[in-house]
Amino acid sequence: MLKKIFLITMMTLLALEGLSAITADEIIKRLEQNEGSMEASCTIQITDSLGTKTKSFNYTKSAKGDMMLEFTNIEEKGQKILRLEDEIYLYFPDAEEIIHLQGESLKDSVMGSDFSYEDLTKENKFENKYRAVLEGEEDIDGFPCYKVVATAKSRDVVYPKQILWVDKKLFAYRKAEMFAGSGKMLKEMFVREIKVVSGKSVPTYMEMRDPLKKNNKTVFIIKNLKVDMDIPDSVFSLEELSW
Amino acid sequence: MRKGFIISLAFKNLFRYTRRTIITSIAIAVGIAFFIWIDGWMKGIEKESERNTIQYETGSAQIMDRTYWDERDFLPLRFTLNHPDSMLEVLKENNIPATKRITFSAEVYFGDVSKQIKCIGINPETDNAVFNFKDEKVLLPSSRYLRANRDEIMIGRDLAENLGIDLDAFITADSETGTRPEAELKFRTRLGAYQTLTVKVVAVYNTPNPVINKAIGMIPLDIASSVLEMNGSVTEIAMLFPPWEDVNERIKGVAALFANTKDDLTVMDWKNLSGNPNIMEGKSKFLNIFLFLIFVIAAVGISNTLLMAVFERIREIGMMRALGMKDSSIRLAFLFESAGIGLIGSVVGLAIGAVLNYFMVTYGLDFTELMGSMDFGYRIYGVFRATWNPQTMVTAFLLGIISSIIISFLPSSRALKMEVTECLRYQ
Repeated sequence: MLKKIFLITMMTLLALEGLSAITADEIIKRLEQNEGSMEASCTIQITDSLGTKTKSFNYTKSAKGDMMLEFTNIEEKGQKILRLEDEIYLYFPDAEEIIHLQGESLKDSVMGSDFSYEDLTKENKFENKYRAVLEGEEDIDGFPCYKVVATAKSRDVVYPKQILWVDKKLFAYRKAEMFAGSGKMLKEMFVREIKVVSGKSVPTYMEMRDPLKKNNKTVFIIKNLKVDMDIPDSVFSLEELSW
Repeated sequence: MRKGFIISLAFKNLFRYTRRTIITSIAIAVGIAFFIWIDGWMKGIEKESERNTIQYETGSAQIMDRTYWDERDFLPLRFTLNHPDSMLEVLKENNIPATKRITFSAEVYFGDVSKQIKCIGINPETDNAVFNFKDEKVLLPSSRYLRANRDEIMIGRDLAENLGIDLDAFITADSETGTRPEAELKFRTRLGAYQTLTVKVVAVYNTPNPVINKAIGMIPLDIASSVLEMNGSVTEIAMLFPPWEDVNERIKGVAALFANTKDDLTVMDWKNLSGNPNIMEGKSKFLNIFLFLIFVIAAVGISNTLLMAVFERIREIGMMRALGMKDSSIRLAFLFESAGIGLIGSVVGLAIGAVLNYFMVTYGLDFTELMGSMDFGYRIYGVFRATWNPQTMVTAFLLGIISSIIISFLPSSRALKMEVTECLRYQ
């Protein structure tokens, strides 16, 4: 009799666990719900064997994903990057020239960082590009996270495999690993700080490194963050870019 | 007046004023020798750069997709030759040595160091028909040429040094059983996904082309095709034409062979492939201007000494005219004398120029220390060697004589315009 009660209790608990369990797709959806319009001042610190370079810029992003980046550090002061849907435009104030990046040129690094212009254009939704599987739960820096393994649905996706650690409470990345087709890890990103602004969780301090390279790191810091703003479309225009 | 007398007079004058003849001849000789030396040097640089470009970098010409050519700075793998084997068959039927290649951008990692390089997938069986990497003189000791279907790489000496590969250990290890350094390549596939490949460095080459030694790696074509997901397509077909044939004519012929294919192809010569042809033409024009300036400097020197020679003999001219010698005969005597000085100067200049050129051809001048890794556009290292240029030697020889005659014409005319009495009173 006791055996029966134990069995029924266990089955009920397992069923309840199944009902309440979150799926990988839901985690990704919750992650993407944190996206939205944003204004911020950002700093990138690029460290390699030659030393550390710091670049700063103002960042503006619309709710539909258009983006304007204006550099404020001395070397690149006034240089701008505009993303309109899947198009990237660069503006160089010294030359007073707008350059439309397309094709292979999108693979170039943004100001020598571990980010490429292509990373800025990733408009295609994560769920369209990857098949995600929830592999369990792990703590990252003491925060409980979902571990999601995402495999590319097609062979034209830049990183054929990614492993994401998503904060269980905030639904923001705590860690991400990107892999090549051979299985070799190419990028490792740690999110050291997440801020909740207007109910949205935004990573504000990220470290990215290339495991194949020694002594390299790109630190991305977001300050003066504002989210869910009404930003007029005119901010994301070629006129504004060359203004 | 008999021509024999005038020639005899000119000949005697040559040796009557021995010091002046020697000084003027030296001026001509130095000008001609310098002209031959510099021209041989410049031509040598151009020729060697051309040879090094064709043998190690581009072949004589390449066939590629037109869009690939337009976007060549980014090495886009999306625009490729989809039927290279049938194209190679056509080239073979027309006795044109050719090989297919895949050129792509990659980052090579070795220990703590990484470098952005141009990686080329080569067919170890056929690449030697166009390029020269199998040459034992080019490969460092203990190197082994690539073998098909193996994860291995050949890299240039400068790249190996920059990556921190221990070349002393490399050249002393056995090429088959010894430990070979391993490097990691990171690149994007044809469709854009990241891919990596671990490769063994089986060969380090030291070509006379610094561009190739600095930033090029080569892996077997079948491996490149597989990891890049090329499905049998390649980025280019490189061809080799006999050096004596006109490259432009051959290119037209090759283009005609593939005129009816569906693909939008283009055939480019080695000049276009190795950089901006306008820059090369500009350099060539600069060299010609430089040579012209050398000639002008030499001509000014010659004219100066000849001018003095005529003016110091104005009283003599006056005396000959007073004795009844015709102006035309006096002028002819001066022209013959100048031609004689030009001939002596040209022979000596030719001899000195040939000796200088011989040393430049055989040993060259080593500017390696001075230039270091400075890139001045030509595909050569710091040792500058000259080439023999018979055309320039003949031209310089004739120019020495003709210019002496022309230059002496003006002062002799001026002397002949003077009155006989004025000539005799001339101090």
